Order: sequence, then C-alpha cells, then structure tokens
Amino acid sequence: MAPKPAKIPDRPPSLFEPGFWPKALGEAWNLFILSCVFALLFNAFYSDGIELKYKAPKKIYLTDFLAQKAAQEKASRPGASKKHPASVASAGAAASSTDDSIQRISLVGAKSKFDKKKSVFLDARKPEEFQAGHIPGAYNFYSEEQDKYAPTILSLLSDKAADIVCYCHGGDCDMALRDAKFLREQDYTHVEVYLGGWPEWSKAGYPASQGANP
Amino acid sequence: MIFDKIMSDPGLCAVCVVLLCLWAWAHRAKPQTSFDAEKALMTFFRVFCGFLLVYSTRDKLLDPAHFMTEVDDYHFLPTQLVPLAAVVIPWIEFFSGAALMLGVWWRGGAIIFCVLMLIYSEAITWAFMRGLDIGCGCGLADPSEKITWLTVFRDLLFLALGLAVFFTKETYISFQKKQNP
Repeated sequence: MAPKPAKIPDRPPSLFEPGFWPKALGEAWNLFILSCVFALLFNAFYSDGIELKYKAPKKIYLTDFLAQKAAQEKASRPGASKKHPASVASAGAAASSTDDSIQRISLVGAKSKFDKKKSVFLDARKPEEFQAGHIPGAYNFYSEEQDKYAPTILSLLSDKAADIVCYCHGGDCDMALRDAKFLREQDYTHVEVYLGGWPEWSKAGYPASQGANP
Repeated sequence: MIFDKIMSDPGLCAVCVVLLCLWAWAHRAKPQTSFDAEKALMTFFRVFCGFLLVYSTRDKLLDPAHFMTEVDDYHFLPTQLVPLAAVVIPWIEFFSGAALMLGVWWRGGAIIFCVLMLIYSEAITWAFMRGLDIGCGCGLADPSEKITWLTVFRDLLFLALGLAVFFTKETYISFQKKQNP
C-alpha cells in the first residue's frame, strides 16, 4: 500500500517566488475585464444609461440657425433677390469653415485692454463659474451652450469692429477659442483669446467681479 | 455628523496617517502570541481600502450622466473617452472594492486600487495646478467640496495603504484559498 502523502502546510506566497506576479496581475486583469463587461451591459440595459459615443457640440444647428436668420433678414430687405433654399445651407457651411488666425494675448495684453476700457471681455466658462468670479464688465458666453447665449451676446455686440477678448480656464482650455471662432464666423474682425484665462487673472490679484451677466 | 467629518479630506488624511503609524508600530513589534497584530492591521487596511472604493461609487453607479460631467470638468481625458470612462470607472471601483473587502482576488484588487489612486492624484494635481475651480468628484466627501492640495495628499496616503496591502504576505478573513507550495 502506497504511503499517504504528507499534508502540505498552507503558507503565504512570497513576493519573489515564481508565479506571484503573474497571479497578482492576472487577478487585476480578471477584475478589470469583469468590471468592463458588467459596466457596458449594465449601461446598455439601464434606463438612465448614457450614450458611449461622443457627441460634438451642436455647432451645426447654430450655424444653420444663424444662416437662416441672415437669409430671412436679407429676404425681408426691400429689393432683395429671392434665393433658393439650398443657398441657405451653403451659407451655413461657409460660416462654419473659417480659419484659425485668431490672435492670442497674454496677461499683460489683457490687463492693458482692461485698463483702456475699450474692449469687451467674454467669459466662456460655465455660468456658475462665471458667477463665482470673472473679469469686471465681462459677459458670460458659455461655449457649450452658444445657441442659448448667442442672441443676447450678438445683440450686445452691435459693432462688428468691436475689440473682443475671450477667455476661459487658461491652459489648454479651448472654450474661449470656440467662442472666438464663432464670433469670427459672425464677421467680427477684432476677436482675441486671452490665454491665461481667469485663473491667471485672479492669481495676479487684478480686479474681479461676482454675479450673473450685467 | 462624525462620519461626514471622517470622510472629509482632513479626516481621511488623519485616519490614514494614524493607520500607517500603527502599521509601523506593529511591524516592529514581534508577535508574542499566535495573534499577529501586523496581519490583523493588514486585514483592516484591506477592508478599509475596499470600503473606500465601494462607498465612493454609491452615487456614480446609478447616475453616470452626472459623473460624466465631473470627469469632463477635469479636461484630463480626451473628450471621446469621457463617456466610456464615466460608465466603466465606477464599476471597476466597485468590483475591486468588493474583491478587497471579501478577500477574493484581493491582491489584484490592491493593484487596481493603487493604479486608480495614482491616476486620481495625478488628475487632481493637474487640475489644481491649472487653477480649475472644480469639485473632486471622488464620491467620498461632500460633492460641493473643491479640490485642494489636501485632496492630492489624501490620495497619496491611500496609495501608501494600497501598496502596504499589496505587499503584505497574508491577511485574516479571506474567502480565497491559500496557496500551497
């Protein structure tokens, strides 16, 4: 009769023993895959799930809207020639394809323009961030909801040659640039982006205001 | 509420520092009886790390749309990846936390915990240095609490706890089979 093998005592694994790292990383990988699969399935069947495909901001709708508005204005003028509806769409397409030759300015430039009081500052951040603090006299023009803010802002900026400075969070924040591009599309000729944005301005200790749009 | 104070940044930092000091003490003290203080402490670390992960997901799991806005506020990920991250990250936290609490695949859970803490601390540092005035979105403290350097320090302390758990040889209370030679 073969001798019964002695019971091998349990022992904790050593960090440097072969198989320790593959086992640990394998467990992490299993957890990761399990979580991903479960998350995607849950999101697919959950009533409050979100769309995984990124949706670009609704720029097209805005340009279409403005193109239509411009076409209506032209049509309402006495003696205006009637255009085919297709030209409205082409006007929208033309409006969205502007170049990116927007000038960027620094803190010194922004402060200089602020002191001269001849420039209009536009804050592209969220309304709540704007209300918490902004450059005095600036208007909130939240870049993610341009279609909501555009009518007010455009009515304020009646002069197409007005000196406009857009700003946001600074760094690689592109919200101000989006606003600036939009204004260039609306034929505003002097639009600039203040790169440092609100964080740099407030750190410099320059004047600040709080509250909603003036 | 005492619990809310503990779960705030200063509270959690204090808890982590106390735990790490206790670990240093237990590591030096040799076990006089069959009860191993260091092993018990590591068990607590493991369950504590797991609890933090699971607790932080309580709002994120069922409201991915809101979590997506919080992730987007950091401007840390490419915009196309934000919805996917908002859906997947809470479940990674949940399963890793459950693994740590139950002691099943807990070493893998500790790896994920450490990786998450590294990413979070870097994202918060990045956002903080750029002067973003945003909420943490961590799910631990009050949602309106803004990020500060203490938030970064807290995540680094969590990372230290996670590393201690990962490198420990054994813990008590585990549903996982022990490894034989």
